[in-house]
Amino acid sequence: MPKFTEADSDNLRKFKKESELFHINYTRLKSKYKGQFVAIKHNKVIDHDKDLDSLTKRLGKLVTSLLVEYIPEKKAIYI
Amino acid sequence: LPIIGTRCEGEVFYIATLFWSQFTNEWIRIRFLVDTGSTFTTLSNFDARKNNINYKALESDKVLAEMGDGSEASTRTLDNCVIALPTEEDVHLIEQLDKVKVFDKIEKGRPQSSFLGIDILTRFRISFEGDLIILEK
Repeated sequence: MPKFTEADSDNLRKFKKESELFHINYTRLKSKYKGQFVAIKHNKVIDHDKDLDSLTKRLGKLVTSLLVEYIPEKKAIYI
Repeated sequence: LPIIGTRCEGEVFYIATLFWSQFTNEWIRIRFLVDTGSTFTTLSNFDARKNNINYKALESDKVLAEMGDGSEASTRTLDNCVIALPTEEDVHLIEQLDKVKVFDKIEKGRPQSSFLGIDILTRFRISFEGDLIILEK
């Protein structure tokens, strides 16, 4: 079993909060970044791109500490 | 303490987790879509690549995964994985999984989500409260 340190616990807390805020702000983000990947840190979009590889290349190692999500152009349903 | 996930755009529910496997050797951030239709917990190709999981070092699974839209997808298997799930009072719950699948291909267009499958969801009683999904032991 891997160690789960206080830093990991803090990371999970922050990730949970960022994810919740992303969901709350989704409609606003959708109006601005439709069809793009967004990289979010502290509830702010720090970079965005239609091409995922270009975005991840620009972000470098930072990508693992961010919330990077795709904002679809059309509303999707899951069936 | 119950695990809490949230609804996105009035649609599906996600849970923000930290994930560990021998191929990451550290805790990485994975936002899982809660999917009771998924046999195995599965990492999207994007999440695997983003977190430098060297999944290509593993053999491809012999059986193709059947997707919800009827298509088939090739996967690989990560053994002995651990997921840290957040609870409502900001402590965590650790769950172990013998196998976690990884999608083999880079998704075009709208990327696939990582799925939290029934291999882990059956360990919990699931309920809904507004925009929250609640998983309780």
